[in-house]
Amino acid sequence: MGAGKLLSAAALWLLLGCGLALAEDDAAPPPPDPCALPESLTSDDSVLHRTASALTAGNPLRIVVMGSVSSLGFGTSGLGKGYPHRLEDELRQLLPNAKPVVLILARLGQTAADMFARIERDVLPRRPNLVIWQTGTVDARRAVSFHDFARVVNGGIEQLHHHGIDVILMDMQYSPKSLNLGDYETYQDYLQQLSDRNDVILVRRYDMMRHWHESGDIRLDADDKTAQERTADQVHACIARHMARMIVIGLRAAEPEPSSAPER
Amino acid sequence: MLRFTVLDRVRGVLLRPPRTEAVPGGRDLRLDFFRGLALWFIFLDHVPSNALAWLTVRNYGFSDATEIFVFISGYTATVAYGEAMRREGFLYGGARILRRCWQVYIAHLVLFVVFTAQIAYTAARFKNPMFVEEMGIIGFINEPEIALGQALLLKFRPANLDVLPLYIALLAVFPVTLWFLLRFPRATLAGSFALYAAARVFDWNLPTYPEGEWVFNPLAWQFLFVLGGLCRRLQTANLWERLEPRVFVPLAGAWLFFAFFAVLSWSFPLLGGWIPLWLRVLLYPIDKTGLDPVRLLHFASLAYLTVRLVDAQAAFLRRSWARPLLLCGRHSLQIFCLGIFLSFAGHFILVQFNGSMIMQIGVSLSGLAIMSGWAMVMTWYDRVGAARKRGG
Repeated sequence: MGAGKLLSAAALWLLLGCGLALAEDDAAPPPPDPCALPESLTSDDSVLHRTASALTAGNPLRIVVMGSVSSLGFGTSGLGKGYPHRLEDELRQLLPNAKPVVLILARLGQTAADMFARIERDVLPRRPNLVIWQTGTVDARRAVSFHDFARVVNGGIEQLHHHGIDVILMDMQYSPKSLNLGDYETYQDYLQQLSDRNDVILVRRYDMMRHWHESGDIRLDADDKTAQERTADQVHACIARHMARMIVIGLRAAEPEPSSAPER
Repeated sequence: MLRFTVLDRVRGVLLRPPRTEAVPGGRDLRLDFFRGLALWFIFLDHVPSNALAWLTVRNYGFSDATEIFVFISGYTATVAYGEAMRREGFLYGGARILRRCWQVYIAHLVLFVVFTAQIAYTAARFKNPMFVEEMGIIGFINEPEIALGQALLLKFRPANLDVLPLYIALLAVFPVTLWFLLRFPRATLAGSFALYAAARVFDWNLPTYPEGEWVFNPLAWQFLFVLGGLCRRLQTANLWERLEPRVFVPLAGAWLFFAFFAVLSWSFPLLGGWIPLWLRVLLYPIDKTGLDPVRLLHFASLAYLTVRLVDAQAAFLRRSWARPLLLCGRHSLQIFCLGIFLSFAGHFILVQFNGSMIMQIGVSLSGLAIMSGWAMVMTWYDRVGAARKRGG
């Protein structure tokens, strides 16, 4: 008897809560922003300590993007439309004093291990203070062992941290006709866990693109070339915008609060 | 006052004193039920981007349906073949196991062909330079003779076909495992654990083509399989009971809660800050291939609480709504293969026609219905066959 009443009460509260949530949605005007994403996809409490201290010391913001073909902007309507270029544009507006520069070190078909090997050779000599590491796609495609994947990504992050460079991870693209049929998820899990372990920001591109596709904001199943290029442009632009915001938030969080002690 | 009553009841069930779990001759329906549930979860998890996949275990803890499936399969394989081996001897018992292993191997090849056909079909129609790298998956079609050869050796496996080769490997050595398990159960468990530990420490695994290793390392996952068999061998409903519930129920509950919180923090990163950094360094990454102890512990906690909460004679197991799950669990291997096949088909439909949320739910429910229906057909078929045999 008691259990029944409790359950009905719980159900009532649940309905009430749902009703309120829905009512709230109806009440708010539709956001004009085509890149809109739920809070949970863009929030990350990791702080860009190292980059912030480099900027405070007077250095300009130098970002190196390590990645595979999507970091080269494949599928967009032209050079300069890929997310790294757009990121530079966004950051120039948001942090004009930092004189941000984005360098792209991406190549087709690179696994995380390939990129890890390039850190010493190609990334460090360019003296960045922030590295954006886009990985997972090629590894998933080639079914690289999870163990090796985790090892090189973790090792790479630690190496970059050791040289005073902050890291931002980015996972794979979402495509509705996902040919991989499955194990993207495990690589995604690994990226999420490695980002937690090393306290770095993770840009969850797969989830973001999936949200846009499923909400209809940016459909990813176009068949003709112009439509495909247009959606690619949109995706890269939106990714860049969110990434820029996350960088700014990460930098701001590194500024010491006058009243409270820094976290960790 | 009301809340107190419910909690009291739950606590009473969890902490009740041990009672002899007599399952006289009959099947422990819980095995069928939870294995059926695991199969449903595996199906839902294998339809990519599936809205209903949110219902499955992997989103609430570190372990997933694979653990449930492997453990229960170890238990039921010991039931099914232990008797035969005891009665008819090692050779006959072993032959029966290998025959089953062969069937699973053939099923795996069929699924491989279906998978390849689907990929080739989709790839031929999907041309978007934005995803040119993702399309590389079809590279193996350029060298079919090599790919097929490697597939026959279980070395080339597209994603989603990872549990079957594990099962094939486990069954292939099961005649020997079972022989030892029946005679020296504790020693076998110790040996199995030693292999599990060694595989993790020394990085032993089987290779895949063109590179990499088995997603589910048989050398590690065999431990869970043997554990299931051991539980059967030692009639372990009582083994669970011997653990002091006042200590272990809260421990298990605490671990499950922690796991739930951690998994939640992957979707809602702001929660992650509550887990201290040293704990995150210790915990992550959680090894799926080598059966991370964290996953094992999560599964053990889940199993422990389930066994405590759900009696072998629990009434709900006999209700009509539980029947589809029970039947799926009973014919687990066929339903598993069917589930994988349906997940391919479901994904194909979602991609070709309509991938909306409604379609995802529709495809998921249809798949579960087909699996249940097929299980019912097989049950009917078995029953008619048995009656025929009895009738003469």
